[in-house]
Amino acid sequence: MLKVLVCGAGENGAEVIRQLRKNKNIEIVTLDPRENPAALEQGIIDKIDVEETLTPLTLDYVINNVNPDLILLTTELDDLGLGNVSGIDMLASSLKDELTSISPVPLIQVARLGSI
Amino acid sequence: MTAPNHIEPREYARRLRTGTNRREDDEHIAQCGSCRAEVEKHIARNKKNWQNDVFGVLLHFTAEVARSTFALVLPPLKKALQQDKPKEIIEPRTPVEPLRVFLPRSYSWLQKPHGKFIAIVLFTFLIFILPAPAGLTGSAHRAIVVFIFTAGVLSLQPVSLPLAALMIPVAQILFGVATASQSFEPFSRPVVFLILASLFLAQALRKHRVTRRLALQTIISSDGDVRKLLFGLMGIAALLSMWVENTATAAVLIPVALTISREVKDKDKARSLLVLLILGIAYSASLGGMVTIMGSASNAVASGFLEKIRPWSFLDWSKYGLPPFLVIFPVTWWLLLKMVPVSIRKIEISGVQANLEEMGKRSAREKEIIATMCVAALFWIFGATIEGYLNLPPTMLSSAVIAVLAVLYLAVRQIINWEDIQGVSWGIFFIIGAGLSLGDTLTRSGATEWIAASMTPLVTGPPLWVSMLLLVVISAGLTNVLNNTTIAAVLVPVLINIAVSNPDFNAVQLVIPVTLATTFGYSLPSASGRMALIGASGLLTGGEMFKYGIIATLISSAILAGMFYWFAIMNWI
Repeated sequence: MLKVLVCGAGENGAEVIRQLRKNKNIEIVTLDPRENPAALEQGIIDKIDVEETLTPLTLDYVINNVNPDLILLTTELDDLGLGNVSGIDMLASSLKDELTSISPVPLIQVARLGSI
Repeated sequence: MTAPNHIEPREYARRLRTGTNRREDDEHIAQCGSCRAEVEKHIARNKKNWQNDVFGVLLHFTAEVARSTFALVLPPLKKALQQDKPKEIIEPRTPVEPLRVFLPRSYSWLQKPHGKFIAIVLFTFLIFILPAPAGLTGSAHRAIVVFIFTAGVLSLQPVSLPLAALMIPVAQILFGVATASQSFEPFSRPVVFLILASLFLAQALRKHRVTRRLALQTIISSDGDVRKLLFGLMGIAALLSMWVENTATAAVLIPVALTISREVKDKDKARSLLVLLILGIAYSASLGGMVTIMGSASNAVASGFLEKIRPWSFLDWSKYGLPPFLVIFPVTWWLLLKMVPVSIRKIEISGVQANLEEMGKRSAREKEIIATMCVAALFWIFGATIEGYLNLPPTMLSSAVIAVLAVLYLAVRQIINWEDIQGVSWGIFFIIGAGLSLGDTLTRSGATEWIAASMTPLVTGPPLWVSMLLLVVISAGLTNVLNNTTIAAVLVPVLINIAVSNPDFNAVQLVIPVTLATTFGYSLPSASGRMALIGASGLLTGGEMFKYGIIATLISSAILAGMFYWFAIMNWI
């Protein structure tokens, strides 16, 4: 059983979860800091497993608690829930790059999948 | 003789064996009948000895009293002793709770996009229906109404900043103060492309992790010393911000600061270190922007207006921007160390070392990006001189052309591609264009002259050092609530107007310090993109950001005003 941590349960995360569910051997764990992200709102998942914002500061904590085999970073700008703050798009990209660099577990950034 | 596998009954009976040995003995006795019998025999003998011997009885009694006393006294004594001794670190089964930043926020109705927009429109309408002040024509009054609307949408950002900026030319057309051509023409000025190209270069640096490598190397060379580390990170932020967009630089370095802070396990200490580092990154990214035209959107806007009244090159800006930077940068570093209490002096850098090793050696592409940036910088500095010396057509080696050429070179070399460029915050294009467009409209409508006439006593009345200080402080104060591009767009034409009508002043003397002062927006999240990112991190309270920011702003403003006053009395400007 492959344990996959899907970070971000927004529109992009919802599509990723749909695709991963095609393989019954994948255990999906969801992470999102928001109360009602798109995947939950659309009924694709019934709860968020880990309510957390993934940053370099929380990465080890999350990995130790979830123990995933693979992390898929599906977070989009809206998923951060920080509003229209100027420069937040650049920060979001850099944050993802940093997480990819420092993660001890394979971590892959998933670009927007769109409707599949 | 006791068999090697058997226990020593005498020692057991006298409780001379403790801990693991005692437990092993217990297990053995439970299974071995002969040892059990031997132990019971020894216990009985000891008891008999104690009871028969007077001295033994006395000793037994004393021991019992002592045991009871210890039972009463020992627990509170232990507790008291533990308070003095450092606590033993017990590794929890799960790691300690980490420091959490960038948590999502909930917004009240007025903070939501439509609420903000309705509030801005209502306020703008209120100003519109008020009678125009004396001396202000109808057109100039409407232009000022557009300025109020601009200030509102760029500060409160009912939608993303670039989209908010796009509302400004539309508002000018709707209020009848500009035609569509007049409104949108400034969006194609060379300075807009200069800033846009610098953003593309920032993307190349990010994509190939040049910035990250530089930051990690700085951390390692600081040997984990917090003071050196702060200076190094601030230096990188400032150096890069001179050449590429400064919010983009800060956005790349803030996640590196998070990685550094994760090395500190204590949550409070990690927080204070992170506050110090991200404030340092944000302040220095702003300060670095003072040095060049492309360092900040307000510099670009000011240069756009100065170009209209006199020959104005990249070097012209830098010769006035560099000296204040060289003085204010170390002062800001020192101030931050004094203001932000950080209890740790040194941090563990082995994790950072491992990260750098994982990145491998500097790739050929990274080297090519650095080389391209260096060549571009040389042309930015000496382009105008080379152009004159070689008798080249004007603007062939202008800053914007060089910047775009550098980007195109990287594209031809396949170091960046269209997909990378698409991922850039193109919004800066709208923000600068909107600033220039608003400035033009205020000038065309006569609003600039009216504001200039109102401001002239402030500039020409008091002694030069007072008026310089006032202008700088006003600009630095305004930048906390207004977008700095808007400030430059409004104040620069006003100051040029004042300088033209007063032979005691020249435009550069007034425009440069006022524009540079827009750098010192440190007190509120609305001050700049850098401060907005810090605000979004949730690391600092509003009070903390204001406290640190206002001190840094006032000291930096005093230095800036003092330096430009000195330049003026020395006739260097």
